[in-house]
Amino acid sequence: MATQSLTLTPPRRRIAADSRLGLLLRSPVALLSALVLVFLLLVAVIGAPLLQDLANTQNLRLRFFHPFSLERGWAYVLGADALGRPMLAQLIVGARTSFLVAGATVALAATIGTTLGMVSGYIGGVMDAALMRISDIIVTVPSLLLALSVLFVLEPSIVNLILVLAVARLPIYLRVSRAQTLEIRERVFVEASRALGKGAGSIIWRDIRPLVVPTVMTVAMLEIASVMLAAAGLSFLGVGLQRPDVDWGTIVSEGREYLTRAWWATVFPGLAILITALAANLLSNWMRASGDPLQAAVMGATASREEAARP
Amino acid sequence: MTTETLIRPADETVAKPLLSIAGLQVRYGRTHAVRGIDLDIMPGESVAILGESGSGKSVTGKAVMGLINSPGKVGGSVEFDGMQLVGRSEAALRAVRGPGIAMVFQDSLDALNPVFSIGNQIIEIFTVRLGWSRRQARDEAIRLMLQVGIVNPESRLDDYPHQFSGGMRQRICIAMAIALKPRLLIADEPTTALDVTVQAGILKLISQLQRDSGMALLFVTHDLAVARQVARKLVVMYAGRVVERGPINAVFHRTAHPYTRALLGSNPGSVKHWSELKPIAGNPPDKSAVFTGCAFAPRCPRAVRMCSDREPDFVTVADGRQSRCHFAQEMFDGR
Amino acid sequence: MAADTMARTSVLKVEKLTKHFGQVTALDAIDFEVAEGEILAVVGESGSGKSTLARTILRLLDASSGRILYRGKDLLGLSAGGMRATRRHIQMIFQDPYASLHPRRTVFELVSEPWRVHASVAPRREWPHRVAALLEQVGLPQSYASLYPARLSGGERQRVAIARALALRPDLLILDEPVSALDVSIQAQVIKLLMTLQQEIGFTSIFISHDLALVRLIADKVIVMNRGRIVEQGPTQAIFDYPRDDYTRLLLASSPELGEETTAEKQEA
Repeated sequence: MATQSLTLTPPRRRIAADSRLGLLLRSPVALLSALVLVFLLLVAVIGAPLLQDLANTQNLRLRFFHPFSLERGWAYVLGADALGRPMLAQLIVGARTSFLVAGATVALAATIGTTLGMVSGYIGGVMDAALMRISDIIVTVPSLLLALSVLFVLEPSIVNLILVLAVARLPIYLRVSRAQTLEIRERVFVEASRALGKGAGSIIWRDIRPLVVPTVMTVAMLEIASVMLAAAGLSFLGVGLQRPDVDWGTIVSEGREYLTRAWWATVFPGLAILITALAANLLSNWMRASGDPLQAAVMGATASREEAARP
Repeated sequence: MTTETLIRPADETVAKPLLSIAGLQVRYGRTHAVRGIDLDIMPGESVAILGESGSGKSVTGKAVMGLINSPGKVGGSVEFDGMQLVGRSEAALRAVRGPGIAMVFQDSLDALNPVFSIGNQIIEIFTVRLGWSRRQARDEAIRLMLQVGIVNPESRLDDYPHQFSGGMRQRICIAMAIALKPRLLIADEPTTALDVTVQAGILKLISQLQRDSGMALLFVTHDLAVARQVARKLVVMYAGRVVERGPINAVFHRTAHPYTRALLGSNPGSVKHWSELKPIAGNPPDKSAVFTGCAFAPRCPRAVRMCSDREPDFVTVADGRQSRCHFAQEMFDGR
Repeated sequence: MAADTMARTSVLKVEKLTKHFGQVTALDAIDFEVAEGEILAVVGESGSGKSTLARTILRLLDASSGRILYRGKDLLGLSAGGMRATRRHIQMIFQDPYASLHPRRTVFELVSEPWRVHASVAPRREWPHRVAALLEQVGLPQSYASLYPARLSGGERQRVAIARALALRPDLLILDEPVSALDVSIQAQVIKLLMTLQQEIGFTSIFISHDLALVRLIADKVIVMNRGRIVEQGPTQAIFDYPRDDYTRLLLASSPELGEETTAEKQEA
C-alpha cells in the first residue's frame, strides 16, 4: 500500500478560517461603519418613541433658531425649522421611519427579486422570458411616476409606500441574480451536483444562493440610500409620508424651501442620509470581501497559497 | 557518457555565453517566484527548464524577456550578448526583443490579437520594425508561413486567429517569433494546450528551426519527455532554485538530485504497471515560505537533519553535471 | 488481465449511442460494454467526444438516440426522479478539482453532501465518523474537515473529490481526466490512490484520458475515439502492441515516451 508515502504533513499555513468578528475588528474602516450604523439604529429605536411629541411641537418664536446653541436645551442644539420644531428631535424620529421604510423595502425587493432571478436563470424557458419582459416594463416606467400613480389611487401609508417602492426596485435584484445564476449554472460544481443526483431546488438553494447572496447584499446596501431619497421625493410630492410621520427625506424636502435662510434644516438631514449611505456602502464592500473564503484568507494574517490566487 | 562531450568543451572555454543569468530573483511582495538562479546559454545551444507549477520556470523565461510587470521585482543579472537587461528601459528592451530574444507562449489564442488578420499581424512586424514596404513584407510573411508548415499561405493571410486550429495558431506564433531572426528563442510550454498528435509536429518544427537557423533555445516545460525531444541541456527547477543541470540524456540516465530522480519515478512512461509508480509525497512548497535549508528536504526520502539546516551548494559531480544536494556525489555514484 | 472478463456480469452496456449538437455529431453510434470490476479506458484527443460520452452516460447531456443499459436497465428510459436515484450507483470525478468543488463549502460539507441528497445511505449522526473514515481512506488528515477548498492544493482537492464520490459506495465510477490538471508528481499520488481504492473496494470504472502512458498502466480494456466514433477497442495489451487502426498508430507514435531516443540526438546522427 502506498499510504505511507501519501501521508501529508499538516503545514503551518493551514490555520482555521478566522471568525468574521475577528476580521471585522482588524479592519478599521469596516468597524467604524458598523459602529455608526449600530449607533444610528439604537438612537432610532430607543430615542424615537421618547421624542415623537417633541419633534412635532411647533414654536413659532423659535423659527429658524440657530444651531450649536444650548440656550433652549439639547433638543435645539442643531437648530429649529421654519415652524420652530427642534431639528435634533426630528432627525431622531425621522431616523426610525427612514430605516423602517428603506430597510423593509430593500429586504422585500431583494428577497423576492433574488429568488425569482435565481429560479428564472437556472430553469430558463418561458418563465424566464416572461419575467424579463415584465422587469423591462417596470424599468421603462420611471419609478417615481409608477409610485406616484399607485399611491395616488391607494391611500398613502407606510405599508403602501414600502410595497410600491419594493416593486419599483425589484428589477435590479432580478437582473443581478439572474445574470450571476446564468454564469454559475455553467460551472463544473453544478454539473457535479447534478451528477450526485441533486434536484433543481436543492442546486438553487445550496449551490447557487451562497454565491449570489453576497453580490445582492452589496447591491442592497447601495440601494438603502436610493430608497431613502425616493421616499423623500414621494413625500415631497405629497403622496409619501405625511405628518406626524416623518423621515429624513421629508425633512430635507421641507427644509429646501428655506435653504438660503436656514441651511441647517436641509444640511443636517442630508448629512444623516449621506453618513448612513456611506457607512452602508463601506460595510457592504467589506462584507462581500470577507464572505469569500479566498479573500478572507488574504485579509486575515495567514498567507494565501499560490493556488488561492487562481480565479 | 558520450553526450557530455557533445557540449563542445573546447569552445566553451573561449566562446562567450549568449545569455548569462546570475543570481536572478523575482519577487511579488512576500512571494518569491525565483530565488536566485544562475544559467548560461551558449549561442545555438538548446536548454530545457523543467519544473512543476510554482517552480519559477515560467517566471524565469519572462524575466529574461523583461516581461515582469510591477509589483514584481527583479534582482540579479541577466546579460544578453554582453548587455545587461535587468533595470533597462522599456525602449532599450524593445530593441532586443525580436532580433535578439523572441518568445512563444502557451496560449496561442491569447498571444494573437483577435481583431486583426494573421497576415496583418505578421506583415506589421516587418513594416514597423524594419521599415519595409507592404508588398515586400507580404512576400516575407508568406515565406514564413510556409516555413512553419501552413499550407496555402496566400489564401490564409486574411484569416483571423479564431479561424485556425490550436496547432496552426501556435505555428503562426512561432512564425512571428522567428520573423526577425532572433538569436535566442524562449518557448514557454508551447505545446501544453495542444493534443499529442499536434504537439509532436510543433516540437519537430521548433527543433528543426533551431537547428537550421542556429538560434539558441530556452524551452520551458513541465514534461520530461517533451524536454527530451527538443533540448540538449537540462535545468531542473524546484521552489525558485535550480537543483540540477547537465546534458539532458546524462541527467536522465544517472540523476544526481533526489528531486529529479523522484520526478522520473513518478512518470507513467518510466514504469510497466501503476504499482511501480513512486510518487513524491506531500505538496510543492508555498512561494512565500522561507527556507533555511534545502527546499526539497520535507519531501525528500534521503533528507537528514543537515538538509533542513543548511542549503547545499552546487556540487559538480562530473564534467558539465551539477546538483544542489548534500548527497549529490553519492547519488551520482549510485550509493 | 482481461481474458476472463467475458464471463463476468456486464455493469454498463452502451448500444448505438448517438448525440448531436445541432449539425455536429458528437457521438456516432457508440457501442461498448464494461464488466464488473473492470477498468475501461476511453482514449482520444480534444473533440473526440470522450467527455461528451461520460456526460451522456450520466444524462448530464441528453442523448439523441441509443440505449445505455446499467445492469440491464435502460437509463434513457428513466424518469428524472428515477435517474436521480440511480445516480447514487454511478459517480463521476471531474478533471479540474479547482472547478468541481463548491468554493463556499468546507471539506466536511463537501464529503457529507452526497448523504444529504441520498438520505437513506447514512443517518446524520454517523456523518462525522464516516467523513473521518473517508478522509483517512484518501490520505487526508482529519484537520482538513473544516477547511475550504481554496486552502488546499490541487492534489488535495482531487482527494476530496474522490472521497465525495466514494461516499455513496458507487458501483460504477466515471473518471474524466482525473489527473490531467495536476502536476506530474501529484498525478502519480492520485493514480496510486485511485488504483489502490479500486483494488480494495472493487468498483468498476470508466477512465477517460488523453494520456496513453497512464492508460497503459491501469486499464484492462481500451476504447480509442476519434471525431465521435470508436475507431478501435480491445484489451490494453493488444491495442498498445498491435494497433490496427491508423489513428491509433498515429496517437501511439505521437505520444512522447521516455524510452525513445531524443529528436536532438537523431538530428545529430
